Amino acid sequence: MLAALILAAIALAVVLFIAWPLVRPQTGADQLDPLTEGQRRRLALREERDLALQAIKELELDRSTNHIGDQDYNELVAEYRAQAAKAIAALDAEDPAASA
Amino acid sequence: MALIGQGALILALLIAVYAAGASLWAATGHDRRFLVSARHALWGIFALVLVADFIFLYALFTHDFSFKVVADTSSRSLPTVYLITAWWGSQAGSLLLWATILSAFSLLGLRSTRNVLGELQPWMVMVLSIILGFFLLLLVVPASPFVTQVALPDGNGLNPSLQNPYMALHPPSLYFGYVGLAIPFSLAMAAMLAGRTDARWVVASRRWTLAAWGFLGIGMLLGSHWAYTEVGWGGFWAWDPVENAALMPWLVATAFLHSVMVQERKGMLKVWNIALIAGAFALSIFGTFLTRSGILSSIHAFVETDIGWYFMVALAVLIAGSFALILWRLPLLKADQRMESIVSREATFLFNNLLLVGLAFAVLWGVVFPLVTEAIGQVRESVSTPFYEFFVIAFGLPLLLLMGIGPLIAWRRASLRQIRTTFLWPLIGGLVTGVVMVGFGLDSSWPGVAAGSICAFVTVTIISEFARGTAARHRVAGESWPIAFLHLIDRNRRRYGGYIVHLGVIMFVVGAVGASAYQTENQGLLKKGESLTVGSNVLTFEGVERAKGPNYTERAAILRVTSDGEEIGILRPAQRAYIREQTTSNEVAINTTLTQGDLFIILDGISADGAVRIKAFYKPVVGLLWLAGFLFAGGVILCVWPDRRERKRIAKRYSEETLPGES
Repeated sequence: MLAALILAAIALAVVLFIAWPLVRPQTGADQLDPLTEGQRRRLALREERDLALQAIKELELDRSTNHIGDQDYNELVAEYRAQAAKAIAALDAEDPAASA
Repeated sequence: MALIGQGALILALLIAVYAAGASLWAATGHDRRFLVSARHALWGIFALVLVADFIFLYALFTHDFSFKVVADTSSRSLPTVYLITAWWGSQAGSLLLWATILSAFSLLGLRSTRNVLGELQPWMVMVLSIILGFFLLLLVVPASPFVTQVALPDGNGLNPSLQNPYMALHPPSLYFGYVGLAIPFSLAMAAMLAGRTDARWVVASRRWTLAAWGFLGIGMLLGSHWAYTEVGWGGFWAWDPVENAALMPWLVATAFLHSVMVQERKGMLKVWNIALIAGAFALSIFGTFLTRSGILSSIHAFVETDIGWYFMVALAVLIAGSFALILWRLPLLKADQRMESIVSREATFLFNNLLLVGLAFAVLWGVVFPLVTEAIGQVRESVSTPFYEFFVIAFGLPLLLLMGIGPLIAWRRASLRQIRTTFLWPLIGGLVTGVVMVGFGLDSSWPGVAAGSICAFVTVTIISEFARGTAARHRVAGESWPIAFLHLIDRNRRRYGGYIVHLGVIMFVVGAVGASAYQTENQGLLKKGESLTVGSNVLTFEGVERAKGPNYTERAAILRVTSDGEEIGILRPAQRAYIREQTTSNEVAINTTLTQGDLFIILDGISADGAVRIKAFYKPVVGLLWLAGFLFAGGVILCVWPDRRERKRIAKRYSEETLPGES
C-alpha cells in the first residue's frame, strides 16, 4: 500500500512538471516560428564567411610550417579572401549589424 | 520496493512515448509549449530512472534475494565493491545502466548544444525519446530488473572473472561510448528530418562524438588490461565477439571524426558522414544486441529469448529509417566542392575512411559468420585469430602510414617540392628504424619490422609537426619556446590534440607488436626445485602456498625468478576456487619492468604429487600498451575541452536563429 502511495506521489509530481508548460498562461513567445528565407540565407552566408576565414587560418599555419609553398599559398589565400569578402559584403547588404 | 521500481520504469516508458509525440507536434505544429513540455518529460524520465536505480542498488546492497537479478549475480560473501559491478553483471542491470546514462546524456546533449540547435531541437528530442523508449520497453517487458521470487537465503554470486577492479571501470566506460553515440546520431537524424543539412549538426555533434569515441577507446583498453591480468590466457585481445562489439563502432566513429573535417572545410562527404554516424550508432546497438541477446552462445538460445527480437526489430528500423532519410534528403546533401587533387589532406582522409570502414566490415563478417553458418547449415563455424590478423595487417599498416602522411600534406593540393621537404626526416626515421630492427635480429616477423618502421615514420612526422609549429610561433610572434609551444597547442587544440591521440595509437601499436610478434614462451611440469627458462629469466619452483580470501580459497605456486644470474624476486601465480560460485579462476603473476617488458606466468594446474604445470611468457615493451591509454585520453580531453573563442564564434554565427529563451 505504502509502495503504491509513494509511486502515485512520484507519478503525480512528474506529470504536473511535464504538463505545466501546457497549462500555464500563454505568452507571446510560444510560437516556434520556422526560419524565414532571409534568415536561412544569412545563416548560409555566415557559415560561408566562417569557413573561408577558418581556411585562411589553416593556410597561414600550413605556410608557416612549410606544408605549402609561396605560390600555392598566395593563390589559395586570395581565393578564400575573395570568398570571405563576398560573404561579408552580402551580409552587409542584407543587414549591416548582422555581419559585425 | 519492486513495485515502485517497476512502476517508475513503466511511467518512464509512457513519458518517453509522450515526449516523442509532443516534440513531433512542436516541430510540425510550431508550438514551443510542447517542446518545453517534451524537455520536461526528459527530466521526468531521468528522475524516474534514478528512482529505479536507487531501488535496484538498495536491493543489491541489502542482499534482498527476493529480487531475481540480485540472487543471480550476488551473494552475501561478495565484497562490497563488487556489489557495484554486479549492477552491470546481469542483462537487466546493464540495460538499466544504458537507460540511466542515456537519460542523463539526453539532458546534457540538449544543454550543451542549445546555442547551435535552433530548428533541430524538437527533432533531436524526438529521436532521443524514441531511443529512450526502446530501452525502457526492454526494461519493462523482456528484461525487468524487478522480477521477484520467494527470497533465497543466499545468492548465486558473481562470475569470478568479473570480480576485478577493472570491471568497475571497463563496462561503464564502454557504455558511455555506446550511449554517447546516440547524441551525434540524434543530431544527424534531426538535421535530416528538419531538412537542415548545413554545418549545424556537425558543429553540435563534434565534441560528443569525440567523447563517446574516447570512452569506447579507453573502455576497450581497460577491457584488454582486464583480459591480460584476469582471464589468464596470456594475451590482451582475443577477437572475442564481445570485444569486437566495441571495436566496430569505434572504427566507424574514427572514420567519421576524420571525414567530418572534410565536410567542415570543403562541404564534401555529406551523405557519407550521415551514413557513418548512423552506422556507428547502429553498430553500438548491434554490440549491445550481441552481448545481451544470447545469440553468441547459440542461435537457438537467441530464438528462445524475447529480447533478441526486440533488438532485431530496433536495428531494422534504425537502419531502414536512416537509409530512407538519407534518400529523402539526397538533393540537399550535394557536395559544395570537388576534390582537386589526389595528393591532398582530404584525399588521405578519404583513403583512411575506406580502410577503417573496410576493417570494420571485416570484423563484422568475422562476428556474424558463425551465426550465418549456424543458421544455414545448423553447424556453427567460426573464423579464428589468423582471419582477423590478416585484415589488421592488410588494412592496419596502410592506415598507420596514412597517419604519418596526412599531417604532411596541405588541404586541397601539395607541390612536389613541399612534399620532398616535409617527408625527408620522417622517411629517414622510418628507414633507419627498419634497418636497426633487422640489425637486431627482429626480422623474424616482417609485419613487425614494417609496423616498427611505419611507427617511427609517424612519430618523426608528429614530432616535426610540433617542432615546426613551435618554431613558427617563436619566429612570427616572438614568443619564448615554451610559451610558443603552449600557445600552439592552445590555439589549435583539435589539430594538436589529434596528434597526441596519434602518438597514443603509435605507442599502442609498438606495445601490441612487441607483445605478439616478438614474445617468447615456454611451459612445463615442475617438481619442487626444478626450473623453467623463458627469455633470459629462470623460474625455480619452491612449493605451493595456500590462502583463504573472503569468498574463495587459493593455491599459489612459489617461483623464484632470476635473470642472467641476478635475483628478480618471488612470483606467485595462483588458482582460486570460489565457494559460492562453484568455479575456479587463474590469477596470473606478472613482473613488469618498463625497459625489459613483462614476465607473465600462469599456473595451469597442480598434480596430486605436488608438481605444478607452469606456462610462462616474456613480452617485450607490452607496458607501452597501457601507457598509450594516458596519451590517448590526454589527446581526447584536449580536443574536447571547451574553447571559449570557438564557443563565442559559433554562438555569434547561430545567434539569429536561436530559439526564444534558449540562449
